[in-house]
Amino acid sequence: MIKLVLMALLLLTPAAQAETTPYLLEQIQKAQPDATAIEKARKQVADLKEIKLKKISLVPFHLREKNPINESNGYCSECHGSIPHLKSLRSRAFLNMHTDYVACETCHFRPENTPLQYAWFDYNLAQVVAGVPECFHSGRKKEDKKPWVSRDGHLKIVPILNQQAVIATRTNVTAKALYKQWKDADKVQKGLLKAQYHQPLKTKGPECSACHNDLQNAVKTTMEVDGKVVEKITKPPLLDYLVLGATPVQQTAIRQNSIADFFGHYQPEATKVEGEGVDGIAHDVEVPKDPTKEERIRITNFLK
Amino acid sequence: MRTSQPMDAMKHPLFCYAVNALMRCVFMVLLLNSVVSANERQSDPDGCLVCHALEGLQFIDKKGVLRIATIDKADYLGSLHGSVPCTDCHQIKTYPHEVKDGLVDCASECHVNEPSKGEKFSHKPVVKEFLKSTHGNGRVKDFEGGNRLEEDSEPDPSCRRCHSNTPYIIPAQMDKFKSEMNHADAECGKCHVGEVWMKQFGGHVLRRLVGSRWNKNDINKSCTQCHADYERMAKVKIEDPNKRQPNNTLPVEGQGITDGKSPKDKRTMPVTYRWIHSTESYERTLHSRILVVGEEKGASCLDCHIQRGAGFNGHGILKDEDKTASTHPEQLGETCGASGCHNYAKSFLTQGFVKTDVHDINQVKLPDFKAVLDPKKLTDVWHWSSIVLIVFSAGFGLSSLYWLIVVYPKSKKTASNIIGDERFEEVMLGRKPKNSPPKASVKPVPAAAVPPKAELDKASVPVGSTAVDAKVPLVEDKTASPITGNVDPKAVVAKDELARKEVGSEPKALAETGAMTTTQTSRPTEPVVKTPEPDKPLETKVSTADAAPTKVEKGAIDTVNPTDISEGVKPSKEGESD
Repeated sequence: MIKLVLMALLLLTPAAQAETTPYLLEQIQKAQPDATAIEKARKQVADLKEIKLKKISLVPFHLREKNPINESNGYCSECHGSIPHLKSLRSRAFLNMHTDYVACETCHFRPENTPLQYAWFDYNLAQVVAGVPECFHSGRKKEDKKPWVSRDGHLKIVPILNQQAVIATRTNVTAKALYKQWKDADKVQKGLLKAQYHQPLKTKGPECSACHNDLQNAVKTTMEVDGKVVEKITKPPLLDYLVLGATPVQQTAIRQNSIADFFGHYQPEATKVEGEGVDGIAHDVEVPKDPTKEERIRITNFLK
Repeated sequence: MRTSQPMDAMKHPLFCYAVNALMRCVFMVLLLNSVVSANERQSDPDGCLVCHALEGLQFIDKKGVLRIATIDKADYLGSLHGSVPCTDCHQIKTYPHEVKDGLVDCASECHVNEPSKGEKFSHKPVVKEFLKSTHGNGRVKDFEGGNRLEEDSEPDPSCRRCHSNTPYIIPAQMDKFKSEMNHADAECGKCHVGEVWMKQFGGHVLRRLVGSRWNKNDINKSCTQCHADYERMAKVKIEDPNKRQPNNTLPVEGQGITDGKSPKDKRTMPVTYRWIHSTESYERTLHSRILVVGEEKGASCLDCHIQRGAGFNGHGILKDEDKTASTHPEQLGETCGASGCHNYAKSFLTQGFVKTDVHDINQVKLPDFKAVLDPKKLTDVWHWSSIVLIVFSAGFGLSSLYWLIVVYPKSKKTASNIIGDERFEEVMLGRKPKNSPPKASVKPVPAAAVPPKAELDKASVPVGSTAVDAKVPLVEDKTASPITGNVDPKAVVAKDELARKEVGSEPKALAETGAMTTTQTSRPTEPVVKTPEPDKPLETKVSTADAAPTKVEKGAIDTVNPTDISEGVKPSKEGESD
């Protein structure tokens, strides 16, 4: 009996949890990129120029943030750094802002056939935590009008599957092995590895409206299925703010976001940093062909 | 007539007074109403802070510069430019923002109106003065976040180098403000209604009440951020005063002294070592040291380098060569005497005072040897004389090295060789000086041949006899007059007496040495005893060459060489001489 209890305790420890391979890493291990993807990746590796931050003694004219760079805990930042968005002239600053509270995988890992849910993940504890209003940046506290959370980036929205985070963490054994494999590889091998590691991921994330004006964009249509007329969601919201713990005020602040509206007036990503070509029209939220029962309930709740 | 009655009534003075009073009341009500219902001051009419107040707006540009687009809203509203809308300085029209639209010109006019004349506010007069100054090639426009890297490496200071958009009441003076104004944070908003107004705390006037935003140490800090960077200062090219433009005008902007063209500009010259290290030499002076300990009576950089008086604003630092410059030799009396610092400096009687070098390079520690060897960096006599000293020191050093390696190994390894004081040898050790006449060959006297004490007495040479006759070693008699060579007879008699006593006390030692003495000098050391060969008779030979110096005048006496006694006389072979 005692042995059983000890075994259970061991399994509950973060170390034991770290031993399990997250869904994302499973997909990476299974990935088999085609020749085109490998060639493209090799070219990117060959052309890669490392950007080093320059030191400037000149004091900025306007007071900025005291500690602007947050050391990201995410696995992706091992290579991409804590300010990963460089190319898009229009949205790079806003996208980098989102890295404080949205994990890379939330936007860039959206498997077509596997619907994912989203929850808050505490990188310090390396586990999913229950959503509460204090997790959100939106709105400010009444007492001191300060943000709900400090910008240390330890709480982020991550995709989950079966109540387990699908993301890779730095402490995970498989993630460490993959990173070591990358570090030890030469340039040719790195091209192959880059193609493999990024195959399950999408270069472009969803549009702003997928999260900020999601209700307007969530469209339901009626169609006939097996002789019955049913409502089918063709464009569901990405995040369930209720599950994430947002208060009604916070939900409104996020959804009725004027900046997202402002970006909505623009044509999709047309302006890029010099030298970077237009990468085609952004794909919108991936629509599950056949939403699950849980997802229908979630979306219906939103539409109410 | 009926129709004219109302018109007449309107012309009645009482009616006019009533209407006038009513109009005044309406005006006052409207005025008061407008004051009460005035909108909160809006410093962001274009809504820029909707985005720019968000935390975490940042990216890294192609040059590797971290660009932070976030503006601290609370800080901005309480800042010096808190009431200036963003678009007054940044003419932004599109998104993504065009770089050329965002460029800031510090001499441009903004929407803040000057209260008395209603003119638009501008920094143009300051910019004009700055452009005439020695820093006049510094950047005063085209400021944006993306060119901070280039600006950082420019030799001349820009506006942004010294100025930033600080709050009216800076954090360092906030405590002083609260204590002097007897305010708490929460109380400010009761009177200063509105976020902007409250943040500014009444702004300009209150800032002046609390005190100057920059104290003297702050001023120095502003200067030293460039001037204490010696590597940076060494790259600066300054105007050669001997090659000034015709009519002695200042260089034209863009053809300047410190721009990129300077290495080819024949009017420029390399900066001196004294100029590069001017902050370091300043730190050695009382001017600086008083300030460092927190006493405001010291002199900051601007106290000397700015012509005080009308129009003073701290931007018109002129070159020393400029006759109107506060540091021009003709102005130094006024400058030193300003603000009651050194009033006597104005007097012609104390003209020497103003010649004191407050940037004395002699006070500065040389950072490396190159500075000594580089004549371009030296203008000081002391350093040139150092070079001469170094040459001489090198000569002495080489000579010493030569002696140590070549001469010393061949020399005698005795203590006296090293000490090298012949006088010491002669007087204290009683040795024969090197320049003295060679001593006569002395044959050892067998111990048995030593006469008894009675014979010794008989053997005492009477006055007038010679050393040769007596057949004893000769030594110069100290009793002889150094000038005439004559000997005082009384002194000789006294010495004879003394000699008899000494011989009597040490007969054995004397007998062993075999030395025959008539008079003896003091013997500070024990004689080295050497046993003479018994088969050789006691006799002393004097070589022909030695005869002349040993010739004794009448009145002189023969004496025993004390050196022979102390060292012991070596038995010499026939015909051998020293």
